[in-house]
Amino acid sequence: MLRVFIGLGVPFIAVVAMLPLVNEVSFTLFNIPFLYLWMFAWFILTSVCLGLCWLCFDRHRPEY
Amino acid sequence: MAATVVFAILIAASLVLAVMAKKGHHSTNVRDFFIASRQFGGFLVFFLSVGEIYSIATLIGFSGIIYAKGAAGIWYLGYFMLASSVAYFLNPLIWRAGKLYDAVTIADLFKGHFKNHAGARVLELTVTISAITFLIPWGQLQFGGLLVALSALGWHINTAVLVIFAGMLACLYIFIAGIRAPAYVAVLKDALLILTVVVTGGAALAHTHLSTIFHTGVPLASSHMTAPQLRFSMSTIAFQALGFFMLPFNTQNLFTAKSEQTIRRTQMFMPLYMMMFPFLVVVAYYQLGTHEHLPSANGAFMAAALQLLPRWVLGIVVAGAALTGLLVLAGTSLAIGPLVSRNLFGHVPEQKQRGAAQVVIVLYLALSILLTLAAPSLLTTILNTAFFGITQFFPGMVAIMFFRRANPLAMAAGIVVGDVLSVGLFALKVPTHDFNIGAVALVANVAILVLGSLLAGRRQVTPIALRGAAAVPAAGD
Repeated sequence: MLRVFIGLGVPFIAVVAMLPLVNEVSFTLFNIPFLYLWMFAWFILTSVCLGLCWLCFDRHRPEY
Repeated sequence: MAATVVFAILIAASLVLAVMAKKGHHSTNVRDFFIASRQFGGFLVFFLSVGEIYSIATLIGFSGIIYAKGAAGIWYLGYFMLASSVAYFLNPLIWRAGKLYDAVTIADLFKGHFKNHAGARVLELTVTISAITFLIPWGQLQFGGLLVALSALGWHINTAVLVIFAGMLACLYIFIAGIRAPAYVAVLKDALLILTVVVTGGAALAHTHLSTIFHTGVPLASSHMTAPQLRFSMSTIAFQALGFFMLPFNTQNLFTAKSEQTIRRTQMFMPLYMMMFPFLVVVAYYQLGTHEHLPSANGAFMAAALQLLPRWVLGIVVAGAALTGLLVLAGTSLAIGPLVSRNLFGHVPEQKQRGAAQVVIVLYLALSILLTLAAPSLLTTILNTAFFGITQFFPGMVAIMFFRRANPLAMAAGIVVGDVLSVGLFALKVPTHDFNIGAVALVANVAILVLGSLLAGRRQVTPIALRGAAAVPAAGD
């Protein structure tokens, strides 16, 4: 269950559920609006989440 | 002229690559033609299955929606990202089901799972017809993008001729090498498209400083979403993330993989592969800042490329864009062919399947071309429409993976209601408080599947997730 939470739950919370909050942030970097910055950051963070699932849970499955 | 020459050379090179892909695989076996006999390792599976990320819809459509709607276009980023999360968990099971049922198409999965069950044929037909129907807007999406890209070459020829030219190129790819052509050309296509995006984005950045681009562009496109836009984005991200691997060609591409582990290893890198999107955002904002009047937001990327790049580099950009469109068309056609020959007509003998498939593919391309010419619209809107129907397979797919009591007739009814409801709401412009129409229809679909299965009696089928390694025949058979 922890595996599904890390790989599926966390990204869904960040990219869908938190969107109303992210939408309110007025921080910018090089004038780039925060919504873009947030999405770009999750390109990496979603991969990190899935990488954790692989390293901690799935790596040792039989190769079939 | 320089642009046209470079464009022609690159398209010719990709055709040579397609011919080379065919060499050494002279099998006329239908499984080799459609799913490469399940021999592909991680590298090719990666390019095949995430290839849709860098499609013509992305290059032209995504920069177009950012140009037109600013931050309200970010659902496009979110749905790919979450699609990879869903895929990491679901796709290995889809692959396992494909292996167990010797599937070539998405409909084969359902047919195989409910073998000997009275409702199996009804479900198979429902999935087949629905899949083909909602792939037509997908074809329209590619041809629409191809038109925008090719028009940047400044050929001054009739739109209809241009689209037919594109359709013929797509046929060439398919008939030369089956799915191996899209697979090998996919690597070239992704390389070209990434180059395209980086070069154009880089040129914009070299021309104007990053913070100036956004300083000028941001006041012209909103950087926050309104409440309705937020509702649309959230529902669309979740909805299309579930649907991405229900696209019949994506499912089919999964079957080319060697193993479940190949798929997991591949899938974790999919979000990282999105690192080119920031460049597209830069290009869209750069184009906003130029204040140039565009006839359609679809033209934003190409307009920027025309302005910023030397002619011969523009040829590379157009070739990259065109190849992605052609390749997706090839992939889509290769999904439709067997859907018709195996699932729709049922008992066509295997040797005849390939011929039947080719006839249907030509018909499909012709229909998509007609729609492109008859109903041009914002590319991302066409994309949304395709997902209305495609995502309706998701509840059924989850059901065969995890639930014993799933009933095929309830599943078919759910899909039909989901399809009809989403098309109806869309066509009649029924207000859904800005929630994605397909997501609204999906709720009805799930309700029917669950209730129907509960009422339908006790007959059980062992779900895929519980049928482990022992049940799967060894690889390479």
